[in-house]
Amino acid sequence: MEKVTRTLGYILIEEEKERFQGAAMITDSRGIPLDFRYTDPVRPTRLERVLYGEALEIYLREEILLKNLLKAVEIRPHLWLCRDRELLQPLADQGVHPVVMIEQTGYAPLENVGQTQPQGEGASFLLQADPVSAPLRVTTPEGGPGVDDLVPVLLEVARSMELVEPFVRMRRALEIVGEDRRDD
Amino acid sequence: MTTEGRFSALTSRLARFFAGRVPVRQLEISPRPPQVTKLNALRALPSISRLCLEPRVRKARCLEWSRLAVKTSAIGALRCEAACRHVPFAGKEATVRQGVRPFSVTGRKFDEKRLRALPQERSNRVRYLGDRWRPQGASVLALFSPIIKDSLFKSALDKRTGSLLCWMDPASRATDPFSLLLLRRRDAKDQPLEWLWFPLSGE
Repeated sequence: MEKVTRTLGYILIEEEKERFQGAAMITDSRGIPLDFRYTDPVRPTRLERVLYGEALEIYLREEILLKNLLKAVEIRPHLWLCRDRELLQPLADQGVHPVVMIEQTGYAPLENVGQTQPQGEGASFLLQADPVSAPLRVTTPEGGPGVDDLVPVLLEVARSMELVEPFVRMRRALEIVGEDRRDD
Repeated sequence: MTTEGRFSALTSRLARFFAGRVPVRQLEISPRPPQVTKLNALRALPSISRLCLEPRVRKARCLEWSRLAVKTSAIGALRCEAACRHVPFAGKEATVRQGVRPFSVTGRKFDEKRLRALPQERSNRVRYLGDRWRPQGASVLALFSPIIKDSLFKSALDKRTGSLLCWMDPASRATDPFSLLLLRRRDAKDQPLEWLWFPLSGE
């Protein structure tokens, strides 16, 4: 019997058919959900699209969905993860620390577990998180955590769960919420 | 026609007959410039259709409604007149509507039981196994990792995606990760498929 210590916070904001919806899920290091919050979908009218112009998407993502989700989450995780580049810096700017963007890649596995390889774009690096998978691409925001601080946490958690898998479940949960709304 | 004129005409005919030439002359433009008449549209009277019992205004300008009488040009009983009344726009009240309302959302909580009923997915990672492990007399069909074996209370293979769906027991405190392999035994005819658990090393 061991004590489960690490918690991860996943943030997802999706746009589908001109509707914006967000979700946040906190899991333990086995991927078991501890908290899940979601927003109702926001569908801007044509008039709002015209008036807000190009700022609409940024405004909805950052000011409306992200802020409200973060406000609603009760558990503060050890590490926040997102998979959209557009969310990474806004999360850091809103005081969410530490936060990383994590993506699956199609690269050949690196030689050793824990090995990192810097990527061309700024603060991105490849990480071989476990022995039987492609390396993950991890990106940190400006002023975010360093590789040396991040890698031990990610390796520890990757031993007991798939790091990017919770995004799939969050998407499924949002689909269920949508189905429930249609049934009502 | 003068002799000179006749000679010129003859020369021209001969030239056309033998050489196929046609004289080209310049067309003189009239020195008088074309006259442009300015049509004052504002003064135009509305056009009224003839033999119409009810006067129908085909074209009119709002500005002139207060000054113009609209009537048919028919005679006698068919003649009909209608007075146009001036309706000042300033007297109308306009309702102001709110075009943009502030977006507001609240973070809703998803039912915990339903959330935990959603299985975790493990994708098949057999292609990353490479030559690291080749079992004797068997081939590895699938490799799912990592799975907390002692927290798993139900699993199902999704035949559509090839992923393993794992339902975990949230009450369990187990943390030891395992890999789950699906083998095909070449020598076993009755039950060639076999599932095997392997503990993950602590590296």
